[in-house]
Amino acid sequence: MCSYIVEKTALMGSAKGRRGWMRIDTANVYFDHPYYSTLDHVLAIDFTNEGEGGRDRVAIELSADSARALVERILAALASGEAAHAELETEPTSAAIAMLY
Amino acid sequence: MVRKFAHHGYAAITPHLYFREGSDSPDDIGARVRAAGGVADAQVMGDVAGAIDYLRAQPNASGKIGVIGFCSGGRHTYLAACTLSGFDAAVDCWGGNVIVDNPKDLNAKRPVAPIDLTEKLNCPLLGIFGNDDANPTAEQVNRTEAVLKRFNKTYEFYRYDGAGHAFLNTYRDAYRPEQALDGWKKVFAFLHRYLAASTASIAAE
Repeated sequence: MCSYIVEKTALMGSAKGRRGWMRIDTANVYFDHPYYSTLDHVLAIDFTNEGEGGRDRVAIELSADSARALVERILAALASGEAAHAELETEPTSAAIAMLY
Repeated sequence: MVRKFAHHGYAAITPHLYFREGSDSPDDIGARVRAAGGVADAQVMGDVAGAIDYLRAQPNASGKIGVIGFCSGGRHTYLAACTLSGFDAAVDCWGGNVIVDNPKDLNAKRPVAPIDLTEKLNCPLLGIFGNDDANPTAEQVNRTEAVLKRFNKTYEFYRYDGAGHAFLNTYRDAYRPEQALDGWKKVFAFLHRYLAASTASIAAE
C-alpha cells in the first residue's frame, strides 16, 4: 500500500463472494495500488462483515473514471427506482387487487 | 524479488510483514492490513531487525548487510536506515511519505516522518525515483536531497524522466523498460560498491 488512505462506511446489505451470499456491514474504500489490475492506482472497495470477523470480502478494483461513472449510475438508479416504486405505492386499491390475480 | 538478488550472488530475505494476520491469500491478508491502516513502524523495524539477525547467522553471510524497499517499502527502508544499526547500504525506490507535510497524517502507527530522522542515517543511501511520480513528487525528492546534503550524508539519487511510480514493476502499466534497465544497473552497482563480497547479504522489503 502507498497512500494509507481508507474511507470506511457501515452499511446494510449482502454480497456474493467465494462462499456464496453473505451479509455485509462495512465497505472499505481506497484509492491505492491494486492487487490484480495493471493500473497504478485504483478505486478499490472491499465489502466485508466486520461483525463476523471481516475475514471474507467481496473486492472490486476500478479505474478512477469508472468509479466516478459508477457513482453517477448508482445515484441515477436510486432516483429512478425510488420514483418508480413511489408511483406503485400510490396506485388505487382496485389496481392493487388486480395485480394479486 | 529475492530470487533476483540471489541470481546476483546475494543471500536475500523478504520478511513477511503481515504474517500475524494468519494464512490466507496475499491479497486478502493485504486487504485486512490495509483496512486496519497498515502496520506500525515499530513493528516493521522489529521484523527488519530480525531479518538482519537471520542473515548474519547464515553460513554464507559476509557480515555486510543491505536493505532495499519499494513504495511504502522504500519509506520503511529510509526509516530502517535511520533507526536500526547494522546496514552497510540502503536503497529507497520511490518511497512515498518520507516527507509528511500534513501533521495530521502522522498517527500512532506512523508517529514520525522519516525525513525528521535523517540526521541518524547511518549508511550510504541510493534513491531511485520517477519524475512523474505523485508520491513522492519531484519537489519532495528535492527536499529530501536537501536534507541529506545538510547532514552530509553519503547518498546517490537517480531520477528518471518519463517514469512515475513503480516503474520497475513489470506487472503494471507503469513499467518503463529503458528506465527500469538503467535503474537496476544503478541498484546493483551501488550494492556491489558497499557490500562488496562474493556472498554479501541483503534484506529486501
